[in-house]
Amino acid sequence: MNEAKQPLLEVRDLRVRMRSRDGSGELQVLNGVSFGVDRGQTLGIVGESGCGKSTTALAIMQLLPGSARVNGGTIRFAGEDLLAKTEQDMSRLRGARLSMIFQDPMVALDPLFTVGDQIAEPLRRHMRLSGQQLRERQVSLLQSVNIPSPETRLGQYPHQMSGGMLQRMVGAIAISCNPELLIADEPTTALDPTAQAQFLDLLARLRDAHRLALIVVTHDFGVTARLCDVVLVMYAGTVVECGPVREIFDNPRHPYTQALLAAIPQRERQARLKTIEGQPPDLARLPAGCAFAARCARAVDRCRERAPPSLSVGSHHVAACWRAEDA
Amino acid sequence: MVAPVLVFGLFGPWIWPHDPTAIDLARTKLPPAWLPGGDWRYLLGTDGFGRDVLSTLIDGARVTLIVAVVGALGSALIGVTIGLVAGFYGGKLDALAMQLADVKMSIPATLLIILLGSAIGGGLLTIVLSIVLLFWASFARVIRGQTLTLRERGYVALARVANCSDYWIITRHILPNLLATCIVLITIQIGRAIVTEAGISFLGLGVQPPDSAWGLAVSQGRNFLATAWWIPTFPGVAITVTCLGSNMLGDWLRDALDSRASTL
Amino acid sequence: MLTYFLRRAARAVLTLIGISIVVFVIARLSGDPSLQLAPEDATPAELAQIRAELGLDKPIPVQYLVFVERVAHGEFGNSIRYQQPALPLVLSVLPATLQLGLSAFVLSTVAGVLLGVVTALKRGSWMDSATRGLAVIGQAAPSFWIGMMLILLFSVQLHWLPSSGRLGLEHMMLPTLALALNSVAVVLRLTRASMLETLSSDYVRFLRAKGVPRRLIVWKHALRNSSIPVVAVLGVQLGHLIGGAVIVETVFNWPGVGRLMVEALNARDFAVIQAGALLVSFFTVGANLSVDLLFGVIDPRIRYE
Repeated sequence: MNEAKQPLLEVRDLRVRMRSRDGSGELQVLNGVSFGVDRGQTLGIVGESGCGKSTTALAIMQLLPGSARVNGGTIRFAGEDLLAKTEQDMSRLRGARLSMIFQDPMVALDPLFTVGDQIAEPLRRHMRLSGQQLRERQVSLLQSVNIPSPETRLGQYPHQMSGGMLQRMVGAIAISCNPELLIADEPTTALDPTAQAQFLDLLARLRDAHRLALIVVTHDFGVTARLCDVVLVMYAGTVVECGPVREIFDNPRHPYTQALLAAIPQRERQARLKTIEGQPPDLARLPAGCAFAARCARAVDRCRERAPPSLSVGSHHVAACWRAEDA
Repeated sequence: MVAPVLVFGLFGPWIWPHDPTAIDLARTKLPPAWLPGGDWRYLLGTDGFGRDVLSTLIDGARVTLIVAVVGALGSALIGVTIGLVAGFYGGKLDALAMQLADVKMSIPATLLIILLGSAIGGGLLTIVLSIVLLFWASFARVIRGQTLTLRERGYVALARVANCSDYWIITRHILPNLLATCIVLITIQIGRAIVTEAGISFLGLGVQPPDSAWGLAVSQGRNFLATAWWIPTFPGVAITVTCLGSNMLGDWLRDALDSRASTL
Repeated sequence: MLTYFLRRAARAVLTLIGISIVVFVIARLSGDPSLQLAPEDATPAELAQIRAELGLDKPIPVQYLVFVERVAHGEFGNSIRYQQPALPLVLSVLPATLQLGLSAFVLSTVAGVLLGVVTALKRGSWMDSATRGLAVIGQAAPSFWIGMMLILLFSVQLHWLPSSGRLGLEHMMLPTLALALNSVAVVLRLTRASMLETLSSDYVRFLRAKGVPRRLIVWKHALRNSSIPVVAVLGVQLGHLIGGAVIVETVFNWPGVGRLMVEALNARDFAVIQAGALLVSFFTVGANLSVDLLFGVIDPRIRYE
């Protein structure tokens, strides 16, 4: 990370509260998340379901559902405080300077309108294109994501295309107005393996071509290995470890990261899959100490009493663990 | 909300303050008690024959409710059966059932009533028959849809593998699951049936005097709209409130049964 | 698209046949027509002769075919009351009913959808609660009673609007309102629920992520998607409105098919009743078919089925 100047996106101590699904109370789904991303960099956010990684992504875009609200922290994008912006201001930024793509391409597009119409929307809005210019740009966008016969495709409807092709189209839409930041929330989870590989390659290409700051939210370490420079591991709404991808893979310091990596099925014949014992904590009743303590093999009293801060364990490598040094 | 109406309906014969059929020509067209000229013994006023409006309301409640309930149950019986068969067996039976429903839905309700009434005259039978004919399709549609879904469930497949008869599968596996929907539907249809009965009586095809029913009261009161507005107004209020109550009860039941089902 | 239309049209034809069967069967329920037409002291021989004349001695399916053939030629017999052919009689009053029914349809659709969208956007506000409260009442109240209450308020008490007849625009207002109220309520609630669901869907989220302005999201995307279940209901609503027009006409003395039918009912004028029932039903089938076509226009997925 470049420490001399401000990173493009800087998230500090972000906290988000959400009403629980049955309406009975509130959960603190994000509990002090901090990180930064710069242009040309790729950050991967990993963790199990419910750890808050998608919430983080949505919070940056200010697309949190109505039941959630930010109750602490700051999000600075190119020096501006996103949390202070009105919905109108944000809608001008979204698509133009920061963009997001989601997991399931089949439901990402309005089934009643042609694909071409939906590609054109941000182009009209942010770049004020129309007529011939608009059409040319639409076609070139589709070509840049390897979609054959683009002119025909423009007049088609989402239900007439495969998931892989739709997701590529979604990617094209996302970068159509040359944003500086792109967030991809589980972009390959809904795709079949071939389409997954294709799409990851596409993402890498787009990132390099546009010098994007890229954030990839995923539960799959393989995706991070392929795309990311830096990895952020989340657990129960907090960052437990963060560092360069090689470091994290070769030298994980937090017990949770270690357990996650150990749980990845090896190619060789394996007797049993390793799992992590226990369940993630109830976000309505977070323990006073480290959130992982109940499931941690190395937990001591100190862990249960006070939540550990992020401690440096290497160059650009931090881990939130009292016992990070002894690996 | 439904409670007061139910009370009226069930206990009507015992609690009306006056004999609803007692004609007292000396006291015709008295306004409701709170208006000048009113009399607190006749809370809602009297009608053209001197009958107490409140009493006729209560009396009418009985007939109205009975007709509505019988009609709703009758149409439920037919509709559920057809829907079940259509959903379970599919194919030609299903197509036939849906075509029948289409036919029914293309004939405007009032016209069907008039058509029927012209053929077999008026009276209670006409009302019940009309309600059954008008409402069966709603039941059939919904039940058919549900049966289609339930048919694909795991336990039905298991039952088939175990060579259970169709009858067994239907009665033991599918019907109980439909029960909740049926109850909700019937509750709501009772309200609609009351309004329908009102319409039928309004046309003169329903309950005949001296029996009273709410729709009839509104119709009879029409001539007094300008002079004695309370005569047609209160029966209409009764109809609206009851229908409203049944709708709300149905909605509440739906929520209650839904949440139970999802926690099972 | 063409196959979709053809399939729907085929079903419509089947429905029309079904309706004619129903009308025929119910008409026959009223007993032996020969008894009604014959003088009271007719001998059995005379009765038999009348029956033969009317074709009643032939088997029922043949009678039905005869009936269909006559209907196809527009022959329903003569109105007992007016001593004129029934069909032209009905046709002469049909425009009045259509005027009432269609304006109520337009009113209920436009008002229902608009109010539905607005209450969905302003969910939880007092306006939302008040409108929904009114809608709930509007659904429960019988239309003829509403008509009478409207007359009470606007004609008797306030003397703003006339209570009967069909002369000018002001004559149309109260009947249309009375007729439409129930429908407005249904359309409103459905639109609102559909809108709320659409607004929380994934593609709306992506639209926001693209930076599409809220105005476009609501009126271009959400409205069209939410209208799908509403359009499905519109066809049924039209049927209800036409049926309801019959009753409302009686209340307001509106010279349409409804009033004619009620008079025919009292006079046991079967020819007119049959003609009216068939004609209006055919019209309803046509209207439903149009609604089905509208479906195809709105939702491309159906077109490519």
